Amino acid sequence: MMRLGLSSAAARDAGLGELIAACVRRGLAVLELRAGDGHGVELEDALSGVLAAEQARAVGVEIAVYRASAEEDTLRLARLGEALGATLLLDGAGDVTHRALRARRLVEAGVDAAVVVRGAGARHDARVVTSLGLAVAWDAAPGERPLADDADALLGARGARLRHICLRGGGPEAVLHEGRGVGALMGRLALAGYAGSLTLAPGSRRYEVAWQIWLGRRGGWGCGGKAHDRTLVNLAGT
Amino acid sequence: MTNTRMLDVRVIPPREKHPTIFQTFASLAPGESFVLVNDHDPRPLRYQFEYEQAGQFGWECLEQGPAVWRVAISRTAP
Repeated sequence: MMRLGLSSAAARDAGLGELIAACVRRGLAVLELRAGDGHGVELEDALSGVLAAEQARAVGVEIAVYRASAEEDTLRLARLGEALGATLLLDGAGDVTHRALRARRLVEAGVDAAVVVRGAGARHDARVVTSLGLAVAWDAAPGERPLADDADALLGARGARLRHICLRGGGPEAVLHEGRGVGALMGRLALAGYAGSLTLAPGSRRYEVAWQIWLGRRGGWGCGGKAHDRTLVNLAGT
Repeated sequence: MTNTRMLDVRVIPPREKHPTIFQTFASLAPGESFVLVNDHDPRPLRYQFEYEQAGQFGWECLEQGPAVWRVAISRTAP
């Protein structure tokens, strides 16, 4: 059964408790944590992973995936993945084969891992990843390119290998992406019986205000400053 | 991979929600179903189903708020 969730990218400075509360408020089942965000789950500290998983599980939320650079130390990644009971997403800008081989080492060590693919190269990269018997995590960005064709390709023969989707432009931005294939994607996932996770993340930092409101976060900017930043878009009430 | 088909429309642009739901329903064979997930009571959708798909669908509420509504929608007739 597909599970909808939230990426810590939606509130980079939020602690774990605040992310979990946002999930509960929005009826979201899973969390994606990115290394380096403010949630406090660190690669150097596997115990933080154990405690975080327990804290989330206590209110019915699961930390489903942890996203980190494929260049991180494999042993530290493996320890944290095991502590969280989560799938590790290996991200990075380099060659996908390199990321896939790092992921394979994790899988061979008994840790669940998937390789992130995105953009115009997503289909090609997914073929490489699946040819090595590994799972794929897709960063889907409706603001950058229509999703329907990529969804067909990634759900087709490789559907069973698609483990996770991060929708960069979900949540309060959904209203902006009419005709970009989000509806078609969700319909295809349903018909394919997609059983992975799908997390919501901002498509751009321009929408931070909209995300703050959507997640129920209040204030914190003090006087002036970002609250008056004209580059930020407020979608409240849309 | 499995089993329960889950159509979560919370991320779909508003104007695409109902068309997506009806397209998904149209792809079902008799006896098949999916679980619709929404962030508000889908009562207007049910009215639309009753008008457009009378006698051809099943509607079972699984969860009724306050954050999430889940409804199992099935095709009962071709």
